[in-house]
Amino acid sequence: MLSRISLRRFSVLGAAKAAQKAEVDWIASKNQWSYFNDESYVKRSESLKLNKPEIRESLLSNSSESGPASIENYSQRLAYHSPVAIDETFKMAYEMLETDAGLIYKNIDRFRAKLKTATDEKEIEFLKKTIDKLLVSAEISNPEVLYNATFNPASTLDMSQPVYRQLAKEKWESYDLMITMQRLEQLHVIPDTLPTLEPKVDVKVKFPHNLEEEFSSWVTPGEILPAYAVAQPPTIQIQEFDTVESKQLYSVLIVNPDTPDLATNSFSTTLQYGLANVPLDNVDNVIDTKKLLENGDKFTFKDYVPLVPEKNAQNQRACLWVFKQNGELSIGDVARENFDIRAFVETHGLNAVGAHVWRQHFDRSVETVREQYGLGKGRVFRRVRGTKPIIE
Amino acid sequence: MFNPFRPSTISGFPSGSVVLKTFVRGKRQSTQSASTKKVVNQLSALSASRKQPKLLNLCNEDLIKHRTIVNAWKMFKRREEQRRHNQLKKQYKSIYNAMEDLKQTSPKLFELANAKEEGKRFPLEMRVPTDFPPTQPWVYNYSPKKETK
Amino acid sequence: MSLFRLGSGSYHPSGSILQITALKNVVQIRTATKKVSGSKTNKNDSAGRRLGPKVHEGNFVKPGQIIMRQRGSKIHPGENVKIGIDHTVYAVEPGYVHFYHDPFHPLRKYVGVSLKKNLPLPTPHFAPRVRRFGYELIEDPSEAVKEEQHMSRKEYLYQPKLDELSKAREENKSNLLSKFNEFISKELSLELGAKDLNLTLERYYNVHELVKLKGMSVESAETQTTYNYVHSLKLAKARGDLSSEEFEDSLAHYHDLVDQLSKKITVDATGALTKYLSAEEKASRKDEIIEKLETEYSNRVLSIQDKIFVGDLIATPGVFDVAEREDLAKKYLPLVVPLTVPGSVIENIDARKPPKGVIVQRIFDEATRSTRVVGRPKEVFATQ
Repeated sequence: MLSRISLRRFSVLGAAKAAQKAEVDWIASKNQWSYFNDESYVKRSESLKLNKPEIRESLLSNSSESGPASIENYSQRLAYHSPVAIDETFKMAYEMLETDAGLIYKNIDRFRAKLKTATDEKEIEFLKKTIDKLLVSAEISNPEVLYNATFNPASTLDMSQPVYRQLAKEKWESYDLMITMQRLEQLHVIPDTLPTLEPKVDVKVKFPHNLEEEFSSWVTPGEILPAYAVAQPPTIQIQEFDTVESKQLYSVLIVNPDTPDLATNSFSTTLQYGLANVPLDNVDNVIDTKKLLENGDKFTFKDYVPLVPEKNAQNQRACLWVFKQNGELSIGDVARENFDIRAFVETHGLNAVGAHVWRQHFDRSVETVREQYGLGKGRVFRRVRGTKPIIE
Repeated sequence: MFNPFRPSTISGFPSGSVVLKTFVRGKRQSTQSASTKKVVNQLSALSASRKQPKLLNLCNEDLIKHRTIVNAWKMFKRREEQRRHNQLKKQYKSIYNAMEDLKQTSPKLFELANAKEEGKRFPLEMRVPTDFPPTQPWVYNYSPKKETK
Repeated sequence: MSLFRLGSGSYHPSGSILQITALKNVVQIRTATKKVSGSKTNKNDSAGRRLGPKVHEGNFVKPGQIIMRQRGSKIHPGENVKIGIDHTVYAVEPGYVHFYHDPFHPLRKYVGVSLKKNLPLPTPHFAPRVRRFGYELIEDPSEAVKEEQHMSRKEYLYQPKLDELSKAREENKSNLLSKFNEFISKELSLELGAKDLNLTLERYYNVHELVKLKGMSVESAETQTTYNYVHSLKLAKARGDLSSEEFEDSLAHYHDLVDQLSKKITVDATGALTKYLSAEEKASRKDEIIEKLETEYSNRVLSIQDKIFVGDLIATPGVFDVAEREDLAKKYLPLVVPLTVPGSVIENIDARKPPKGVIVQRIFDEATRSTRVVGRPKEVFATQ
């Protein structure tokens, strides 16, 4: 009975179906996921390929006698046994997913053609977003892409590919973002500096001048660092997950909201570092020593001065804020002391997209750093906190 | 995982067959062998968590293969679900169209067809709903069963 | 118990008897009694616990001052206020008491201490907190020095260890510098002034540390080192130690020196100082070494001398980076030579009495799915 009905239906939709089937067959014969930078209608980046040829071989062809290439130890490799029938099942699954990806690529092609003729700005933006989404869905189940994103360090991924950005974003949201937001809230960076933050970019900070392993790697938000470890400007990585065409301008501020203000027996905010008009994109996403050396003067509007907490002045927070700019900014002379970050953000129309924080307190290296920066000798406060109220 | 309570298939009896025990007067004798009893005893001393099957340690390639297989299966299931959904949508549409047709051609019949039957929660004589119509949709020479009295 | 009983009188604890006369009237008769002891109920009263607010809206409080004594948290602790074990609410900052409601817990009453007189509570959710610094400045210089030098017990106990570490670092540095000095003066026969030599040595020491300890690429380590120097010059200029002409001069001089050195010296993947090789030279040396390894030292069992030679070839200064070295070592100096390499398996041996220099191994044959015993020459295994 079933066959009779499907036959009848086929007679109606026959022509359309046959055409679609032919298209599927043709695409399947093209092996979408095996083509890179080819003359075929889809030009896939070479970075979507698994970057280790021997592992690629052992992933895509059937498991060889010598065992999986990802296990480096010879005897362990020999001792390993794959689950029953995983290769055959994988082959079927791969073909199915690849055919699906082919159809998506066909769609992408159609949208790209539309994009070429589109003139309306809104339409163009919509088409670009759609193409990005489709590019993600065409590659997200590609085992080679999955392998690269799962087992290779994030720094080696090609962030110009929407699929890698999507996978990196998922990873970021599952851990680093949560840690950052927790530290920002618990250390009251929010709302002591700015009211709140809607995180859009992954901000990472490190101090590459350090020779100790302990201080030269990426700083976990909220970490307490000694003064000598932060004596030179940090390297800041700003990873954007949406597509950035040409260059996007960013500004970065480091403020210390815990500078003792004895006149009011309270605290004031100090601007420690100010960068503006830093052009970055998806791939070129780091403000590092090389950039600072070459054209640091161009985008530094306030030179870096590390936090140098005085004896018994307790922990101080270095709050780093990253802003997206709408256009080029011209920032005049800004006073370092009594800096009002909220007013600054308001006047320049900045949009906070990410933040970071580390802490410092008095240590034995503070004196040297003070000398280096010509800050004079630090004050000394009593060890026990007094009971005098705020002076209004 | 060894399970002493699983019916064994090697001992000569096909699995599922019933072994009738004959009653023996006197002290009850265990049917398990001494070695089985020992294993049972040992296992009883282990906690349940230690009796769990070992976690599969897949190598990187196999993990990715496994994920790919799961992805493909998900896609297959999604498509199947989509197909069923479309089918139901079509069925509903055709029911709707038929009723509209009926409304146009014979409002009286339409009224009758939609009449509420008080006190009837679910028509017991109704066929179990199926995806496809029966092979013989209408029995033309139907005659109700004669009541025997 | 029913109070009214027909017939005889009923006893009442207060010492009265109810009698029913013939006319069925109830007549109460009080008999003579004397209370011997008191009752056991209603004896639990205690003196008042003096609960309630101790200060009122707008009053000034000092840290530690009690604001409210209560049973249970009738009033919750708000800003700058804490709650004790018996729910006593007390101030932790000096300021003015305010009773208020918090929009996040609309059913609770709160008490807080506002640090300024006319500052209402609660502080708006997105507004910065008002905080008191509270630490007083030590004006007396000698006392200030004493306080600054004061260490916590933990810091004090760590001092010998820290001294030891810095001493070891200094020693390591001076050793390295003398080695570098020797290399520069003897092997490269560079003639540098004392100041330049010092600059050069410091530069390559820093590059060495960055490359060796942190696994930085040589190029970025050199950039970082240049940046360090430029930064220190800028700071000197900002301090006023250098005039702007002096600054420009030193900067130009340093860049010249770096240019001059970069064509002669470089640092290896392991951080060792080596002669500079141009990209073409490097590539040709690489090809040469790989070809030699491929033709002469692959697919055979290597003797110990061969292994040492291959190791030296891979570690040729200034040619391969760390990853390449690892890959080459994995390929040409494996921990165990694979079974497929000719001469690495000796069949048909007596497992009980293996010949000298042969190690007996049980291996799993995938094809037959069984184990078999084979002998393997000692050289098959890497010497630790």
